[in-house]
Amino acid sequence: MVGVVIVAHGCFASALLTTAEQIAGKQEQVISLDFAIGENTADLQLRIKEAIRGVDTGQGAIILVDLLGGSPYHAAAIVTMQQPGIEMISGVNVSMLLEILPVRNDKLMNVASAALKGGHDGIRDLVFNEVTIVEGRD
Amino acid sequence: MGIELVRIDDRLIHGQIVMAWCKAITIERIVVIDDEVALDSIRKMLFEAVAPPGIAVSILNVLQGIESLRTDAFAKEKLLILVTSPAAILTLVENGLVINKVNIGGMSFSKGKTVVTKAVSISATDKQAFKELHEQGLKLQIQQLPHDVPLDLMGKIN
Repeated sequence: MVGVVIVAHGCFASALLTTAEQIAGKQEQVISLDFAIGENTADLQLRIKEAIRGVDTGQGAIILVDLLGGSPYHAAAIVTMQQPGIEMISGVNVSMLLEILPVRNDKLMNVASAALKGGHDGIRDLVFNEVTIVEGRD
Repeated sequence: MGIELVRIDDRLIHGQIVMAWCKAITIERIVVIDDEVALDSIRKMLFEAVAPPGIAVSILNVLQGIESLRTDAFAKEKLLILVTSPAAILTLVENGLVINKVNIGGMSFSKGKTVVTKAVSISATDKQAFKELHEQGLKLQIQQLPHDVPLDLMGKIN
């Protein structure tokens, strides 16, 4: 099963996992890491590496980070580039996480595709939904 | 050259810069001046990739930074200068950078450093560099985000 590491500013990562577990049930091989003000990004990199070791049983791991360009993004990107068998996706949201939790027996690459799709699919505009998706919106 | 902000932040280009500062003030180019990052192709690529749309990024080593200031290489642009330490600012000031204020955004804690605020911890070397910058008349302000009230650093470390 593909492991999951969630890394985000503030308490978002741990809260996101709690939220997802409320819907999908208790999860194994998932670790959340909260990045607090004043923490060293080098330390965060070490925590991410340790978390990867904790969740990866040989099928690989996916790192989900909150903000494109944020410190969790940078730290996770460096770890992802340093070792094989890791995918990383930014912009994590509840639907992204819920989409991948049940399909983690698939190949890492497919889990990453599911994350991308699930994350996007959960974002809709109530009123302009059809227009937005079919034609774009001015 | 229009220097809008000179900031010490050891995370360099990250969430607070991208989402807060670049929206609060008009910035056309982020200039990262750091010897270590200038040599690190992975971090360089990441910083260039995550800059907000419409904002250029230059990643220079200290010598290149001094040279770009001397030749006014970015004369027509509004700049955000980012470094990781007060020592880097001191080097730039000694080599012709004219500024009156330094924003201290993030200096993370590691062993041996003194905690000044939640986001700012300084080493003995940092303290010495800050003292010299202060003696040269620069305002040293701790301020993480644009809406935070700036705190005078010297008042906190003496």
